[in-house]
Amino acid sequence: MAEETRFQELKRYVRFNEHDAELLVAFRARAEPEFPRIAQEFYDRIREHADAHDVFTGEEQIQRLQRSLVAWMRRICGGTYDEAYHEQTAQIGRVHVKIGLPQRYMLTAMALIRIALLRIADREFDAEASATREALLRILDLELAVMLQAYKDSFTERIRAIERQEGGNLRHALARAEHRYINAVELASVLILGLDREGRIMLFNREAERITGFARDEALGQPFLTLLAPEESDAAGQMRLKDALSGRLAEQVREGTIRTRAGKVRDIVWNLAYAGEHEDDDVVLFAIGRDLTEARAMAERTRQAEKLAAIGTLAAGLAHEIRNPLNGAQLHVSFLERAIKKKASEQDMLDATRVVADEIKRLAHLVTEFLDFARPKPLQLKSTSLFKLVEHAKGMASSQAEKLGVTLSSDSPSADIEFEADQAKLTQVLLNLLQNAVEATGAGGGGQVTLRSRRGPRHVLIEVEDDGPGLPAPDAPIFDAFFSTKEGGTGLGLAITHRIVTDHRGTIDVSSKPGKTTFRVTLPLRQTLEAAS
Amino acid sequence: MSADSSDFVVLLVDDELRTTRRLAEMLHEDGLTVEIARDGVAAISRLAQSPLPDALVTELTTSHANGIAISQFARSRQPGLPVFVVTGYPNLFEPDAFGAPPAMLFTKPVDYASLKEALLAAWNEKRAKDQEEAIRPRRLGCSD
Repeated sequence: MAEETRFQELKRYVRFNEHDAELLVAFRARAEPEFPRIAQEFYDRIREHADAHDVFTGEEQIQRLQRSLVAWMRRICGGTYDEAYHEQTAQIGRVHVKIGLPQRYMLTAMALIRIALLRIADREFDAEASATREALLRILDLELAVMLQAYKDSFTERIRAIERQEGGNLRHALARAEHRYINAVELASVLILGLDREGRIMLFNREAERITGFARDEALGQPFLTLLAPEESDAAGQMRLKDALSGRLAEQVREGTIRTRAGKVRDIVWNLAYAGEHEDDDVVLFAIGRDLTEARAMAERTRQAEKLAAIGTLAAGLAHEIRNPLNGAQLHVSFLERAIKKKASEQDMLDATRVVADEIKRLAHLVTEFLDFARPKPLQLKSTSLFKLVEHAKGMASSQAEKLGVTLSSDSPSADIEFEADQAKLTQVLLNLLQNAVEATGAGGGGQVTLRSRRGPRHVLIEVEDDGPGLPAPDAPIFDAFFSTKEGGTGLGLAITHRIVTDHRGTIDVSSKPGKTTFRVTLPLRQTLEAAS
Repeated sequence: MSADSSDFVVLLVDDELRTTRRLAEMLHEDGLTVEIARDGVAAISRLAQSPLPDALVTELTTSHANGIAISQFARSRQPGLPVFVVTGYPNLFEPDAFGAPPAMLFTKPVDYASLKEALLAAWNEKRAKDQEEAIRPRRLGCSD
């Protein structure tokens, strides 16, 4: 037996039979002349309705629709209700969907038609009126059912289309995201390992292969500690890993070593991320590692090279400073030799001898200062009076200032400041700066040098200002050892000054232009133990 | 012809004035004429004036203008001027940085006798050249 079609099922459901078909044919014979009137009345009613009216485009269309309605009424009373009939009805339904006729209007329109047709049946059929009414109701319900199906089909189709589209997008997006994550893991220049709850390697990226020398298929499934960190597979190491695998991360960043396939040890800094909250993933810990071996070796080499370069610069500067007094001494010894041969005057020989002695003293002084700079004695910190310090330094510089016709003045705060410092060393700092300033201004004949001091919230500020010609090059590294030497100097004065100030955790800087050069020293009021040691 | 080196003028450039003065005194006793400049600026001011010295003896690390700059200025005025570098920084010395002929290096402390010999050799060379120039026109005259 062939399967029942949808239309056959519907007909069976409303019990539409051959008798109904015959009754409808008989109904059409009587009612057909009234169909155009019904159609016209129907569209007149619809036109009164604003929303339904929106569907219409013009009088011509309405005429056509009225003709269609007449044809439809003729058709439903045509007596043949086969699959072709069903397809025609379905087509009408699809047109309704297509033109956007709302379902509720189709239902109410159908009610109007039904009433008109039933009235004719009541009027024209006496004995058969009831049966004809039933036949009409059945066929009209069938029509309605089939046409509503078009709405449902359309709706279902639209939903499917949306789902298809969304599904496609989603699959595409997922694939792309996955691809991106794979790339991120594979192309990253860090080791990326994923460990399961037992500490076995479940994820092993390309960089991990490169650094460890193990291929992925060799590493996957192997216990991390056994394969890569045998040094850490003691009880303590096992415990640490176990804690990490269960989410008890003591620290997210930890340093460790791994042993490569070739047996080399590499220093790795690991960033650990616990991912065990997600029950559906077997990876519970991600370890992202950076290989520090090269960087550390490089840093150490750089440090060594810098140290050697600094020592080299210092040694060259020192050699120059040693060679000058040696040169002076040697030349004067040559002179003495000649003078003795010539039996020159005692005074000349005495002068030369004094020069030799001076040059030797200069060498000794250089050695002392060099040691002060290169290996200073620890600070002797004690409470220091700013007033006393300033006056002491000023007093020591005053005779030279007088000699060069330089006015030396101080500008101190109204109240004294007590701060922690090494008095002797700070006196040396101030004296160095004052002497430099006095010499700089005095060279041009006279001038003004001011020693200014101020108190900050947590520090003391001391400035030495002069109105001399200024530094020849304001950006020159004047605090470097042996950067410049004035006559009789060692080239270490400012370097030592800088060192003492920084040993006090202070700062020193300079600003200079012709007519105003200021050295600015800032010192903390309190020293910590670390600074003193 | 008697050798008189006193017309041979040497310019000494160094900021170690006391020792430089003593060096000048000794070279003077040994028959040379010596002038002193204490830094690059003084040296270049002197070299801007004529007559130029016959030899330049300079430290490398003179202030304001270094020994190389001084030499280049001197040689721009007198090509081939003999240059002697007396320095505590022998590692900074590059003989060709001074142009031709290469400068001669003396590392401090300087052996006085060697420096004197080198200056006297420069004087002799200059004298030979002066004589050659003096007789050249006569030779040319003979060939005519």
